[in-house]
Amino acid sequence: MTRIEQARRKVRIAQYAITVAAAAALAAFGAAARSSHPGSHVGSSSSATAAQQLRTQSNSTSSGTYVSPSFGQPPQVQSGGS
Amino acid sequence: MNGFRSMGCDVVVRDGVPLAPVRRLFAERDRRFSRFIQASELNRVNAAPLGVAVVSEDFASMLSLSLDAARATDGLVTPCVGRALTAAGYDRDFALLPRDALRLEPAAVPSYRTVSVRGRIVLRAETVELDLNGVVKGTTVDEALAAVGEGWVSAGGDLATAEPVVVGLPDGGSVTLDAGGLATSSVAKRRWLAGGAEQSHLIDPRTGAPTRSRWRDVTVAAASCTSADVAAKAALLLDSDGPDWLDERGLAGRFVDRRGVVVFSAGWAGHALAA
Repeated sequence: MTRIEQARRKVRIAQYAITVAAAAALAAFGAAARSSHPGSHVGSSSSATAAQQLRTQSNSTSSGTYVSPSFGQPPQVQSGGS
Repeated sequence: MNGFRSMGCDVVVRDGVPLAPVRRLFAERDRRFSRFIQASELNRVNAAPLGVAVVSEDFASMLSLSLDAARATDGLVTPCVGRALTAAGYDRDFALLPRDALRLEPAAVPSYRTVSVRGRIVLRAETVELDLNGVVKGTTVDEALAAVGEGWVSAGGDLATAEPVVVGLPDGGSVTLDAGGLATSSVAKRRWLAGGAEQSHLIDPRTGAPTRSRWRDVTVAAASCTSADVAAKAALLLDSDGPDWLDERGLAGRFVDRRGVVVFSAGWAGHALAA
């Protein structure tokens, strides 16, 4: 094999490697982009649980029942904002 | 007091409740999510604020929850305010802020839709500096209560309880929180001046600047501290629409305006006020 043929072979191998890497990167980006589309979000199992909890609680119609009058009892803790 | 300092506030648990697991959880979360701890995971993620980042499971979970909060509030409580907070001058621990800094221009807040999470992969389609404060404290309070399984846990006055507890409210008065969580969002404490103009830590993503809402304090009760905290922030940012927004969601809220006048949502008036 001449030195020119050897050089051409190296170029072909390099081009193949670049093509494979580009395809892999595109596939990874496509998967990530799909997850950003509304309705296709998939998180970890723990985040899915937390997300479900937030949605449920934000839409609750009975959360007003979490508070009741204190009838003048002294506070045990202060909610002052932070 | 059965408590300690973390996340820039006092963390208190009911007497008799073990403190160690609560302290451990808060320390872990502070190390991971603080903007003011140089080696935090948040700062590592924000160091390259565009494209793909691999994060811890805890970070991915918290960011997912934060994006859910953004969806539930039409983008008002969003994790995309990191750069806007810095632009407002909030670039170091609050105790270290100069009381009158140079005036800075507001920074536009990118849409939360430019951020997505899949497993432990975070993708940002635009340059976004994250700030997860909208959910970190409330979630840590909820998880701390779950860890100890009794009593109540409070962080800076945002609390979750497993038993009835009497809570003092901004500008006086009190209420019994029977279960779930209660949180107050306020612009009364963390505020400073920049170029002579008052700033606060609560960024309105529609302007990129600290809120100019009429409300000084908004207190909300909900099924958890996380939900109460997110709803309180959104209601404060919504200005005059805040009470109706809570009513539409069946949430109990108490509003104090900048002159000290107190207004109640229908849910609060119906349950928390003595007849």
